[in-house]
Amino acid sequence: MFDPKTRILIADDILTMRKLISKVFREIGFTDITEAGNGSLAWDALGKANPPIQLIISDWNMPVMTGIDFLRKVRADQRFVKIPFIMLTAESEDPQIIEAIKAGVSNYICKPFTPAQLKEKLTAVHRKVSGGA
Amino acid sequence: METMQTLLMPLLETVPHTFNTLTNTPVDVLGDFPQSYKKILPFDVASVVTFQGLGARGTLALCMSKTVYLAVLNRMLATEYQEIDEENCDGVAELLNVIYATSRTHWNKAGMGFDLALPIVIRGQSPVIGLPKGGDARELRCNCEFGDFSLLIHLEETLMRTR
Repeated sequence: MFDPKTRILIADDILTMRKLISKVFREIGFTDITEAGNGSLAWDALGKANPPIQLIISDWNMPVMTGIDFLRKVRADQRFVKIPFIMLTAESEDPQIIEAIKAGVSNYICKPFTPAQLKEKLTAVHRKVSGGA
Repeated sequence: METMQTLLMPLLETVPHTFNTLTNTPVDVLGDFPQSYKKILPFDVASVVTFQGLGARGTLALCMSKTVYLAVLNRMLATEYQEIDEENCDGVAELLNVIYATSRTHWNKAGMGFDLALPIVIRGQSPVIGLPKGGDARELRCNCEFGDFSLLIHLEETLMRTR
């Protein structure tokens, strides 16, 4: 599992959802959480973060800059290309999931989600980035 | 209207599933979808999403009283909100967003081609949902331990395919 000190960036246009995701992460044990209201604000936060962000959780359907556009920007930048990026979204149609995979998403969680599902995906992503099975 | 039936069926699953999973609040969908949206329960906060597809456009509206909304929200976030305000009113939009997106997956498998859409929030004193005239409108009356609430659905078939 990720270190509890991992710096996490949450991008979602719904404040209530950001609170819910933050709450779940804090219950798991994470403490360093940054929030952004759309992909553009998340991109700004990513660039300014020092120490750098180590894990990104993003919604798909957001105004100004969508989650998929944010993902593409992240993956196109050598500074951020290796940061684990989880799409946490209500968009659950196969073409969208395939689009996200092609864009380099690390994992995909469909809303509505349970804390257990989120934790399970985090474990899977951590295993993947640390070279496990 | 066959298309309306196609829209209604997934909602029987997605509404309870969304509330149960996201807010830990079991919900039952009551009744048989009467065409009586003018008689919906009074509400204090609502979210509306309009969407367009292949040969149809529609509206979904989730309407909740202050009592029900705050109880559901407080359970979801482990908070103790007493009032609906700028900070907490968008939870209703997220609930509708999940209901719409999950239902849309079912609808689009049936070839309806509905698009991505962002819900808006309506609140204030005596808020009103203005559904388009014409088409078919139904109310899904729902019940949870905190009281009843409504999901409205309006569907209008269009003559030309829009995409």
